[in-house]
Amino acid sequence: MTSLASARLSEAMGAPAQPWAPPTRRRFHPTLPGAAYATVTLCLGAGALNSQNNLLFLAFGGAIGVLLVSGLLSGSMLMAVQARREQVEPAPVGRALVVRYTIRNASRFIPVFAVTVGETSGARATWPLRIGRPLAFIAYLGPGREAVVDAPGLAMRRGEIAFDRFRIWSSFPFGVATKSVEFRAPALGLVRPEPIEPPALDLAAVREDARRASASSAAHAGAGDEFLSLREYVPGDSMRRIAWRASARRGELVVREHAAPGEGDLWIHLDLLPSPSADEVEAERLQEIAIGMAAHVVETSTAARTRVGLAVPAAGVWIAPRHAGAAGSRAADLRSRDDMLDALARIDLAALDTSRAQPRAWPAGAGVVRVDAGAGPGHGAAGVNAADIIASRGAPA
Amino acid sequence: MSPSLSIHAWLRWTAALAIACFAVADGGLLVPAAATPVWLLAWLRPKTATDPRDGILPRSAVLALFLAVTGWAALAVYGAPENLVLFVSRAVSALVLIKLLDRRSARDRAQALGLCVFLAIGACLTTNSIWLGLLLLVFVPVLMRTSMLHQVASGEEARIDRLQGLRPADQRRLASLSAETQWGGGRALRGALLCSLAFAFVASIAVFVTAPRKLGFGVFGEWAAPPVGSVTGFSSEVRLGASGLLSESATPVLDLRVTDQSRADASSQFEHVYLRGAVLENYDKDSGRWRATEKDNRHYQSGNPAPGRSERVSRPARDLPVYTFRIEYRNRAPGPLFTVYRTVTIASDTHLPYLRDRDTLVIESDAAGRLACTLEAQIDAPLARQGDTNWLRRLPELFREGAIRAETDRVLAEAGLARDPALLTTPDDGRIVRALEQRLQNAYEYTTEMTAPNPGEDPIEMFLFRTRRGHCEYFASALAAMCRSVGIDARVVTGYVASERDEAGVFTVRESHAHAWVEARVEEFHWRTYDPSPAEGVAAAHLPPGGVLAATRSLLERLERLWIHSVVSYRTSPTEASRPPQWMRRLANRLAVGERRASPSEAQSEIASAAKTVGKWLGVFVIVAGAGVGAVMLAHYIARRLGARRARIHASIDDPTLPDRMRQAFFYSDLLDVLRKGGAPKPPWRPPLEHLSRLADARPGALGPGGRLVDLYYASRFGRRLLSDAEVEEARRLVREVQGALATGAHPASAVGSRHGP
Repeated sequence: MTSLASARLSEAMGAPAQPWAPPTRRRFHPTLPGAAYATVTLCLGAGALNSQNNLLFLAFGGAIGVLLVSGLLSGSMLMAVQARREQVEPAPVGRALVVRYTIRNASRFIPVFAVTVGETSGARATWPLRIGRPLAFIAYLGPGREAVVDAPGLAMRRGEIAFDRFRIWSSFPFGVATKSVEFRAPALGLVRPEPIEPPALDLAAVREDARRASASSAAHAGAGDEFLSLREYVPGDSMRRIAWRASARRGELVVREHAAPGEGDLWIHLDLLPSPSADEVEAERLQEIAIGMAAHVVETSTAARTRVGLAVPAAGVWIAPRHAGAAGSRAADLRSRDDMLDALARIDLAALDTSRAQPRAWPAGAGVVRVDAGAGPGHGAAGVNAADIIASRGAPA
Repeated sequence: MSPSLSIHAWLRWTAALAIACFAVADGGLLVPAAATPVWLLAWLRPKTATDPRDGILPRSAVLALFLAVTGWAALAVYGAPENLVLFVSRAVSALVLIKLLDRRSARDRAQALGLCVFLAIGACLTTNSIWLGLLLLVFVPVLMRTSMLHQVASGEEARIDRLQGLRPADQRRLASLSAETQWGGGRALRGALLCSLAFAFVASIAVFVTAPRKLGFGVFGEWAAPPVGSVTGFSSEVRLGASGLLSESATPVLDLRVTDQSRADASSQFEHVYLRGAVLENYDKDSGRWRATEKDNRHYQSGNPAPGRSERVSRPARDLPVYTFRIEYRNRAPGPLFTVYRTVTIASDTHLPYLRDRDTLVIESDAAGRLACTLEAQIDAPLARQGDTNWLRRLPELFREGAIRAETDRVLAEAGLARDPALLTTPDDGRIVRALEQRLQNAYEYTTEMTAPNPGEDPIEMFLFRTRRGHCEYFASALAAMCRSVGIDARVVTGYVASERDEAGVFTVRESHAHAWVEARVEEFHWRTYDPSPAEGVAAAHLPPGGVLAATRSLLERLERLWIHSVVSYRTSPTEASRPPQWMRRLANRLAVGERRASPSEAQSEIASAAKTVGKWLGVFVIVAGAGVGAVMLAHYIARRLGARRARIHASIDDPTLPDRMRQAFFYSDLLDVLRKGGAPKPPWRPPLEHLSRLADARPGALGPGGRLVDLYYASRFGRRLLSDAEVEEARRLVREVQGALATGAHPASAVGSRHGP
């Protein structure tokens, strides 16, 4: 997004929240068109000297002038440019990971034309391993103006990425010289797994099964947040639990009964232990697919407003479903989802603890979706569908 | 309008101006006639195309045209290497037009702009005319503006292309603002353009004024030395007897300035200046032609004045004024150049052989180049006695008997004169020639209408006895024949008579000012000029045309002269350039006085010669060093690009087997090609297996082999292992299977969705 509107918005919002990144290096980059132009200019000069053709002397002078003005203009444009990288939002594989920059032209007179903003690679920057190069372009930025630009980079591999420096460069006005200024701004980003839809999994049915099972046992009623049922008032029940409207309709006192914590929750058990029969490559592929399927379950469950938890024993991940204190909060749902997706993104397949295959005990009444990378029951089929999803309820799988 | 949209119009105008520049230089109608329809086609196309970036011609046609044009240029240059610039420029103009029909990407636009620059340079190497200068004044700002827009538009298009490589949802998210709303820099761009123009103009003038003239002059021959205007020729013979009308073309041929020894304008002292071109001594009655002696044309008696140096060709006569004649030619053509009688010194900026016995200059080739020379001469002075027997050589006997001799005797008898033909000169020769001249002036009529003689009739006799009317060549031929009939050596001289003088004292000589007159030997070493043509008739023929058009033309000619003097000929006077600078003269004086070894003039000459040599080598060094620096920069650039690519590859996968595996993974590229050609291209954001599964609805047979291919690709690309030979062979077979599956059944595009589809 590059616009004057965004610039005005930014101005209206006052001073930037983050400091401007310090420029670390200004460089001149020779370009192939520039080398060709310089060669042609030399030939013009040689022709002018050889022939004393004054028109060629004029052309030679003009060519030198263009060369100088090209360097001066692009250099002076970038002298007053200030920039910072905003927070990098995570993105799943296959989607655009957007790096947002705020660019300010601090010059009072000189406008900025045709500048490109992009990340630089280096020892500290690991983004080239996982995303395509994020690039943004600003066609015009007036003196004293500010713009926010988005640089999309196609996310290709799951995992954490590190940004170090970014560069702003321009070949304006004639493309014969490129000037750049580099800023240092370390930051982290995350590429989440690409959600892969598992075959034939009815999450709603799994969740309903779990709910019914918990409802059939009064012992499961508890002090949870979620409403479970109404029952007749018995002495000793708290007056605060009486459902007055329902009591008025029925003509007798009834009280609200809440589900115990954990009842009706959906747990994702991601089993990443590789199949003994699969080779390393195949095992890694299946593990990635399993992670993608787990991500899909997380997203669809959140979209269906199902409380969902994630357990990846081999990676030491245990994220419980959201409970008390945030009931009904959509934002909290999304935060929980993001936590789980981030955890899935950070799983390092090379550092799995194979001794921790089984999770701790599931909460009573919770539904469990097991995503298997090939070691569980039903494993062994080669191909993308080898990961199994097993729905169960109650006891640990 | 955003740069992405307006760049196409600006590019078209840039190309049009570049081609116009070359068309002016080329002077023919071929280039504009071929360019106009193609340009119009390129202009009309974007109005109908959905994307202005769409090319009009398919890429294969563009390549074929490119090869055809390049081949034609190569053959043409091979056949006539002296016209290298012309042919290459014509080829470049064709390539510009082809690029206008191509322009699919920013790179195509950049190539078109580069070709436009080359075309303008080619035009500069072809001509120095003012029309080119005026066109360049328009072309340069347009080119700069287009280049600026190109930089902005290229970035914008790259941004859009990057967006199109993303999934539709990301595209919608990121492209919330259209390009039109982003661009608001039109006014600022104009400011940047003006600043750039001003800077380039100042640099151009600075180089123009301060560039060392004569440094490296002629190192590469006469390359890059174009003429000023259109080329006009001058015949070195006179052919009588043709019918029709004489040319009355008002095209300027040269400009003439006359100064005296104090460098003051002396043009007012001359009503006419006869500029001698061809000196014709031999007459052939059968063909009616006057020709120069061939032997003399080949044999240069003396004087090959070195370019840029003033050389004395004769000793000046005492007590007679020396005038300086500065002749600046608008064009160059092989043949005689123009001098005035009794040349003392010659200075030219190019090599011009001097024919001593004719006192004329010759240009030997039609190589292009601005041409000017400065002559110091004593008009109508006797020739210096330098012991050259050629001056004493008698001309062949002509018309000693016959009707012309009888007519001459009759005229001389009427004037009370007579002459013995056996004598070289007599004291009465001047009066005799004058009497004959007056006879012709008074008794014959001047006309530009030409009449053909009867079969077997001598054109001179036809003029003298039958028609009694004719143009200057008849008058000059008749006088020469009459003089030769009584033994007076006389020859026909053709050239120009400069009579059109402006307020600044500059004579403008046009093609219509071509004239013929007579030089007769009236003393042993004195050839005197006689013009038997009636003055009124000649004046009427040479009268400048009037009217509005003539006034406009006069204004343009003044402008052209200003252009020539201020730009084309700026600091190129041979006499000025050949004079060593003041510091050099002072140094030479000190050396001469201090060391007592050489005179100041010799020392000056040596220093000047050494400086010129140093200058030449310095020029060569600068060029070679520049080329070397350019080559190093290019190599550095390529190495950096390759290195960066390698670094990117190795940064992503640190694996020594990567190159081999990349070679093995060719089948994946083949698979993508097969999918594209089969109408089901894989979007970059869609995983291959997902794409194949969508494709399976329309092409069930493609999923199986395609899936296996993807497995093999993953194994190679991410599995970090080399495929076995059997697997590679299997991959080849699977690609063919996918191709076969795509070739049958319904069109798969609907199944896989378009690029912008869900």
